[in-house]
Amino acid sequence: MSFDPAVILDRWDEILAALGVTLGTWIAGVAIGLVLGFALALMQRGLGRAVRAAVRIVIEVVRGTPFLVQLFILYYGGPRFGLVLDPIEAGLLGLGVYAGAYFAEIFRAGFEAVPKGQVEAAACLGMGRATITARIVLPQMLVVILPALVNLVIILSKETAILSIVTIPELTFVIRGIGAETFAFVETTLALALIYWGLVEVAAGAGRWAERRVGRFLMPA
Amino acid sequence: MPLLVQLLLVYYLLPFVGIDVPPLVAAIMALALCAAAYFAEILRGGFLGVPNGQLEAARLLGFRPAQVLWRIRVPLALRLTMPALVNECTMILKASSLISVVGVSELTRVSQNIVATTYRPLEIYVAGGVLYLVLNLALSGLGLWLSRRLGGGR
Amino acid sequence: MAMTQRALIQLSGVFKQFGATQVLKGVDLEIDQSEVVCIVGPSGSGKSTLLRCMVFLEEHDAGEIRIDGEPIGFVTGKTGKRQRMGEAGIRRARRNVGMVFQQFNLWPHMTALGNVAEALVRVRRLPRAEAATRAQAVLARVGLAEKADSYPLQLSGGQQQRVAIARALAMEPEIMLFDEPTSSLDPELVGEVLEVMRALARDGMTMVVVTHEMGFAAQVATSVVFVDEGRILAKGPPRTIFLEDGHPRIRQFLDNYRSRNAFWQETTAAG
Repeated sequence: MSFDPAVILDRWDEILAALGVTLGTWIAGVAIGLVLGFALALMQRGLGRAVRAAVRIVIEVVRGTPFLVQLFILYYGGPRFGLVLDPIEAGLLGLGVYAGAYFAEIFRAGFEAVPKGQVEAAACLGMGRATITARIVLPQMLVVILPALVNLVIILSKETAILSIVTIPELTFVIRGIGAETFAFVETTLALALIYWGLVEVAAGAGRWAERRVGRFLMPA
Repeated sequence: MPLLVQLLLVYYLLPFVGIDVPPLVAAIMALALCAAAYFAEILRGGFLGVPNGQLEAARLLGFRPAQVLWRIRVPLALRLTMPALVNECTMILKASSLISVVGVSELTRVSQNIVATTYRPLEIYVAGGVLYLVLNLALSGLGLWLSRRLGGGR
Repeated sequence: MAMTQRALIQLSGVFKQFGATQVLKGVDLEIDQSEVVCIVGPSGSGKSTLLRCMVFLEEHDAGEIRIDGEPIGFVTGKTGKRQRMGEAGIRRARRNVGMVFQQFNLWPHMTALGNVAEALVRVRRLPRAEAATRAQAVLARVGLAEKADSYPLQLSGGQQQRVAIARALAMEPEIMLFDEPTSSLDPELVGEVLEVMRALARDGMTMVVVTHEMGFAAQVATSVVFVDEGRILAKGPPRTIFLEDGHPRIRQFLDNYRSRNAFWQETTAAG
C-alpha cells in the first residue's frame, strides 16, 4: 500500500475550519459544564433532601452512561418530546450536560475539602451562607481542585471527537470524510491522531502553567 | 488522544502493516491499550502511596525484596487504589460504546439497528442507557464488595 | 459589688442526642453578666456539646436556649409547636456572642489582620480602612500588633489562637465562649493564651470556658460547672467545687487530676 501525505495537505483549509469547530464546541461545552456543574454542586449543599437526591440521581445517570448514548438520546430521541435540535445544538447541549455532571463532582469534593471548623467560625461571626461560600470556601477550594478541573477539561477535548458521530463538522468528522473520499484511511487517521495529540499537549501545558500561577498567588508560606 | 481516534488508528493501521484481524479484535486491542495506560497511572500512584514505614518494617523483619513487593506492596497498593480501579473499569465499559463505530455489534450498534427498523429512537436509546447504567452499578457494587472483603486497607 | 444580674444565656431542659447516644440529658444553666464560668468534667461528658448548643452549632433536640432573653434555634409558635428558626434569626441571635475554637479555625488564605477584619467588613459593613484600624487595635490588645500581616501558617499555635480570640473580640460581643481553647497547644504556648483570657476576665467580659486547665478555673472563674454524662452535677464558686466534699464523681475526677499533677511535685521534690 502507498502512503501519500499530500491527501491531507491538499485540503488543509477544510481541516482548519474543522479544527475551529472542535475548539468552539470544546470551549462552549466547558463553559456550559462549569456553570451547570457549579449550580448542581451548590444545590447539593442546601435546598433540602428531595432536591439533593434528585441532583444526585441526575449526576449518577449522566456519569454512568456513555456520552455517545446521551447524544443519541438528545439528537435522535429529542423530537419525541418536542426537542428538535440541529447537530451542533445537540452536541453543545450533550457536551454541556455531560461536562456539568463531572464538574459537579469536582466542585462537591472541593466544598468538602475545606475544614468545617472554618465555616463554623464564620457562621458564629455572623456571616451569611453566600458570604461564607464566596470569601472563605471558594478561594481555598479553587486551589485544591484546579488539577482536577484541568484534567477534566483535557478529557472533554477528547470527547469532542464523539460529536462526529452525530455529524457535527468537527475534526474527526471532516478528516474521516476526507479519508472515505480519497480512500487514504491510514494517512488521514494518522493526521487526526497527530492533531489531537498536539491539541492535548498544548492544553496540558496551559493547565500546568495555570496551576503554577494559582498555587503561588493564593497560598503563600 | 481521543479513544475514538485510537480505535480508528488500530483499525486502519493493522491491515496497513499486514496484520488482518476482525474488527472486534482490533477494538479490544485499542480498548486494552487505553485501559493499560490509565491502570498504569493508577497503580503507580498506589505503589507510591504505600507508607514507607510499612516497607521498612518488612525489610527489617527480614523479608526479601521480592516478598516485600508481593506480600506487602501490591496488596496495599490494590486496597488503596480500589475505588480508582473500579472507576476506570466503568469508564472502559462506557467507552466500549465507541467500538460501534468500527462496526462491532455491541449494545450501541445493536440499538442503532433496532432504531433503524422501529423508528423509536427515544425508547431504544434510553433502554440502552439504562442497561449501561445497570452494568456500571453492578461494577461499582462489585468494587465495594471487594473492598470490604479485602479488609479496608489502612 | 452590686452587679446587674442579667442572665445573658439561659438553658432550660436541654436534651441532645447523636444517633443512639444521649449526650445532654436535661441541662438547666444560667450565665449571668460578668460571670466567668468554667465548665469542667471528664472527656465525653458533653461539655463541648453544651457549649456548641449555646450558639446553635449543635441543634438541641428538646428544651429552650435563650441568649439575652431571645430564644435561639427553635421558637415555640403560637400553636405551641416547635419551629426551627430561619438563618437570619439564628445569625441575629448570635450577634452578641463570640466563639473561640479548640482548632482555632483561622482562614489560612487571609492574614491575621484579614481574619480579624473580615467579619467587620462583611457583617458590620464597615469600610475596609476603618475595619483594618479596629482590627489592628484588637490585635494589639492580644499582644500581636506586629503580626498583623502574617499568615496563620507562619504563626505558632498560641499566636493563632490569640488571633482567633481577637477575631471574635473585634465584633464586640457581650459574651465570649471558649471551647477547650488550649487543648491543641504545646504546653509552653498555653500560658500566653490563658493570659489573654485572664485579661479579658479582668476587663469584665462574660465568659464561658470549657477547659481542662484547673488552675485557670480555680484562679479566674467566678463559677465552676461540673458536667458528667450529660448532666450538670454541680455549679458553684471554685472554692466550693474544688475543696469541699461534694458529689463522689467530682471527688473522683479531682482526685485523679490532683494525683497526676502531684506526681510532678513528688518527682522534683525527691530528685
